[in-house]
Amino acid sequence: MDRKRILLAVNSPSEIDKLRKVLVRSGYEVKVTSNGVSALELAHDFRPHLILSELELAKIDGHHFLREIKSRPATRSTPFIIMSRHRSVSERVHSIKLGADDYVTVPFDIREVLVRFEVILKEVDALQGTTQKSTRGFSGRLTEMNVIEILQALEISRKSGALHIQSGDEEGLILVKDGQIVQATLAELSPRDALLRLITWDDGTFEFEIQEVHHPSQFKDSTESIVKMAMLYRDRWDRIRKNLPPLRTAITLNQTGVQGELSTEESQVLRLVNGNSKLGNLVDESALDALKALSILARLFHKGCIKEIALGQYENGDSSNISNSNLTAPSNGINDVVKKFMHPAGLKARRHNTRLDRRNRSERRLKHRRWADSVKHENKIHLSRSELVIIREKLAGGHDGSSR
Amino acid sequence: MTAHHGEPLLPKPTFSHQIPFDLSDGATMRIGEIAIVGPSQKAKIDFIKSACKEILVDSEELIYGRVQVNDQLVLHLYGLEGPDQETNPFWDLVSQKLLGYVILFDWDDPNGFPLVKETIDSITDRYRIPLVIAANIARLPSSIPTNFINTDLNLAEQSQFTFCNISEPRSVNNVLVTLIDSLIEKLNI
Repeated sequence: MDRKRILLAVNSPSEIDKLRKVLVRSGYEVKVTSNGVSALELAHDFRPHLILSELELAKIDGHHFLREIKSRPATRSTPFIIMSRHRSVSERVHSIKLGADDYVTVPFDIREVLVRFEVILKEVDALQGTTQKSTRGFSGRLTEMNVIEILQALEISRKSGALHIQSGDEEGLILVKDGQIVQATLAELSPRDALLRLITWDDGTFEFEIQEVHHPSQFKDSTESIVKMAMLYRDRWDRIRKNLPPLRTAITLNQTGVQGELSTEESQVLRLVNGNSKLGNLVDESALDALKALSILARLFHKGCIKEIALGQYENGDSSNISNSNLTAPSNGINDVVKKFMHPAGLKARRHNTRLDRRNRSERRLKHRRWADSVKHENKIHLSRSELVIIREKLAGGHDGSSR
Repeated sequence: MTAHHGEPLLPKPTFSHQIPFDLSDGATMRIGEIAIVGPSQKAKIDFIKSACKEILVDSEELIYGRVQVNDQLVLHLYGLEGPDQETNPFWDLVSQKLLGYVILFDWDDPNGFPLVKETIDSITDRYRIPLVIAANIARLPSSIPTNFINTDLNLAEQSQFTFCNISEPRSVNNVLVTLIDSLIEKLNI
């Protein structure tokens, strides 16, 4: 049986290191963070069974974090315990009103907290046991089943309902009636663009609620056709993505980059780059189709017009781009780990620089390959001779199709 | 998924297995890709429709159709603008994986060949890859000395010239067969 997962979001991780150790010894899987932004990410990636959060967090305070967790379908049922030094009744009431399931005041007795965790988790288990019978729908992670696969499953089973999809702090919705897609929403995007954007999400959670749908269809085509188009789109999206850093990566203008001549659209996208712009945000902000915007960003990247911001350049200790794995299970305290990444020095910094150098070398090679017109590109024939012969026979259709 | 006891590589055909992409159960569809390039959107649509019967994507930037060769092999046809149309995101995406190109133009269009000449130059400058230049003509001549035309046009060695009637599937398939033959010859060298 899987271990129960607990997320501890606290301002000073060293102060609750004893609690963390006790929880680990008690069989829980524990992750710790001091940053509200990374706590939100962990809430979706780590999928904790219970969250303990201090009110005072970096970036996003505990109440904000709580509101976010309770407003999202994928996490709203996760028990959330507020931890604070405030002992006032009004503060407790405020937290409970926002949706907190319990309130722990600091300093606390570890044994008492452990018992509270156990009681809450047992209550949740019992509640899920009773609700599962009446729950209509299913949920999961996009890494296990992506949006296209979900839509195919719904189409085959001719289901009706609402598919809630969540990735990071974005949430989209696809309405399906008898297996046919009738509506897709994401931020301010049109139904088509929303759908195409949603099918590119591969990190996040989904929840499908079976319900009657009376919404008029916003799509002319059948789900089968849409899915085919979406797969093509997704295939293209993934190919471009391979040439880019992750969409959460912050980028900036490369002052020393060789810009050369830029097309109008490249210039439009370049104008959006402002300070710590994240790649994904630039795609969303661009008035262009997302695929085109991503393609242009890839070109700007390879032309050297934009570059990834080195971690040491982040201002105000913004660690939202740091891998979650670097923020968990600290040995000397979260802040020390974060600081090492913020201000590269010593071994970790050298490792990081080496990685960046490697990436830069790789980018230069790629840029050379794609933009040096003087070198001809010889496409590799990635089908075998026998496969080509089979294709030829199919096309010739039994007659001598050679035109020579 | 592997073949056992003569069973097909893929399980019984279901909706998901009709889709020519990597399959979720680990089996992979083998894909050949060919680009149809040329100035006329309509000509490219008609060409792909004749080859594939159905156009799956028909947008300003991309026309897409597929020929299911067998359970494990599929041919994708992409109608695209030329490589100088760098605002088209699809060009960069497909150009490095293609088997070859068909450069299509209307024989009756006085601007047809001059227009595609730039495309031919651009492709042959950048890529050493088989291409077929197909002149669309409603009534096919009975006999075309294509070798003479190739010499006359001073085409690169990997290029072929042919006439076709894009409204006739057999004629369109002949163009594709010409391209496939070039590839097979290339593999034989």
